[in-house]
Amino acid sequence: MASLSTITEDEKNRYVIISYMFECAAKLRLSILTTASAAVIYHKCSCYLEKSDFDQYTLAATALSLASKYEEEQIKIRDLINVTYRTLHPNQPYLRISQEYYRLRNTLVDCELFLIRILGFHFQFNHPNKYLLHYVDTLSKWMTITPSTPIKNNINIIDIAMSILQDTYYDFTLIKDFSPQHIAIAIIYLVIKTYGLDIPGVTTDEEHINWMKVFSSTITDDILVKIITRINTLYKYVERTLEHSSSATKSHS
Amino acid sequence: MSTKMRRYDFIKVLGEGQYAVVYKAKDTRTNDDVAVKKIKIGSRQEASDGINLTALREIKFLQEVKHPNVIELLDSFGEYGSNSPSICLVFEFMSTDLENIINNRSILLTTTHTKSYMIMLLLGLEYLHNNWILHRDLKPNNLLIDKHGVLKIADFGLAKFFGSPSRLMSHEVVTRWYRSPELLFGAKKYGTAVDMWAAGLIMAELLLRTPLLPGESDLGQLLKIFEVFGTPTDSNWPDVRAFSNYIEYKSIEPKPLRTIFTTSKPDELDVLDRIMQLDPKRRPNASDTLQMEYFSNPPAPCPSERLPKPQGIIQQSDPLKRKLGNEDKVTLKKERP
Repeated sequence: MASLSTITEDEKNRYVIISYMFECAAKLRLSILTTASAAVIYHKCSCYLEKSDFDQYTLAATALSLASKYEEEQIKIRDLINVTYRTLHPNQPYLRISQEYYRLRNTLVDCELFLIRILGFHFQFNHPNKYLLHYVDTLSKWMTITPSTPIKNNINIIDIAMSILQDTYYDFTLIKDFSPQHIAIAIIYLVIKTYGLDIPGVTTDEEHINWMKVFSSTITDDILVKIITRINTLYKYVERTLEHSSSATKSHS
Repeated sequence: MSTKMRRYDFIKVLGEGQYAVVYKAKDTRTNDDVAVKKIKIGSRQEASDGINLTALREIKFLQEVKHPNVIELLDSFGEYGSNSPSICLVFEFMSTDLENIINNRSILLTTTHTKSYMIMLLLGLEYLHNNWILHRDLKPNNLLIDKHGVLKIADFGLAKFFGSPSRLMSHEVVTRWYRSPELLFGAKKYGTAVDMWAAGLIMAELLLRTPLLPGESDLGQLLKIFEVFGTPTDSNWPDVRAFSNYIEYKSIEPKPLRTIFTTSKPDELDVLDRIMQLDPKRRPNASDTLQMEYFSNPPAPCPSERLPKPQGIIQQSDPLKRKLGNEDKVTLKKERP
């Protein structure tokens, strides 16, 4: 495994593409689960095509299309092409129904089949989302037992945790090397530490592992540290990479 | 031709559906007969939206399930680069389907046979429902029978995960004759009861040897249902008026089931009575149904290998006869009115 506190050139490129995908997904109003699935599809396929010069933006658009079908959140192919095209070329005029449009559509259709085969027809992803929701739910019910708990609003905790979770999809290491249960626990821990929340019965740092073990017996301090290190690295570099890439494109055009 | 393609020796076409062609083939590695469903995405119209959603659904669900009474997806592969790209799904070869058994007048179906088929259907359904999968297209034609007589649920082209409380679902599912009243009233949220209703009608069809409710339109289907089970009332279906497509029908009294199923014993009618309740909330699930007395009372269910088999499986010499016969319809999606 590569170092968790540094990122490679390849990973930097992925950050740019994922950011592009998230932007398109938001414009298409796709749910977070579909967006997450699309990110996983992209990461897996891009990993497989590492040595080729396959166009990453085509890959990203196809991943969105496949994920929307797979998660049964249908979008029109025309919308998808328009959104992905406009997001990639914000200064170009709108794409009309033209040779160019049909060319893009055919590429997308061919590419879909290609990606399905890369994935070996397996696109069932076990996202951490459901674990995260259940863990927070269980934990917060337990926490409200004591009257002096600092949690006033569970919704906020879930919102923050979910945002962090969605950001983890920038990083392939977090997706492929850790189990979804562990990711969910690490994110909750991160929120607890960041906001200084109290868990009943936990007085020292070492005792946090106790509630984690209830949710997942396989979690260890070592795994926890690894995940948190990686999330921190991710936050450190994503913004920097994106700023760098957007200024690079500006100077290009 | 891809390497995967070469593994299978195509023998003949079994049938052509809306979006797929089904071939009988031989797996050269295991020497087993298989059915290969080749999904067309080559032609211009199909290609316009990319890969077919029905095919994707089928792969998605079948890869997750493994149960003796659910069809097994053995392999899937893509053909790429040729002039007509396609996706192929490889299934175990099934010799016939329940529709053929029901329509074959030379077969005598007794209580022990019906019981056996229903147990296999309900076990498969129990498994699917426990895994949060709604089949949404149960009908005799989609219940395939293998050479050992084992019934397997097939055709997951309309299947869907259920359980998400916020997600709306289409009510335009299930072949009309097997569609439950809540779907006909336009329910957007429903559950396992839609599959149970279809299962009940399949049981009725096994007993009658003809569809119980062959409606010719959606409204006609509701009328057929009410002619047998009576119009919904406040006592047997309290929230019926809340459905978006609810229509008031002229009040009809329910017909006692024993006047329709004249040869059935009370324990058999009891099962139908329970499953075929208008209010979906009152319909039992597959597990509860299997606990009913009927399934443990004598006569014991017939072991699957002794279930009647149509003649066509043994001798399939006359090609014309075969066309009307058994295996041509294997995994073929036939659109009923």
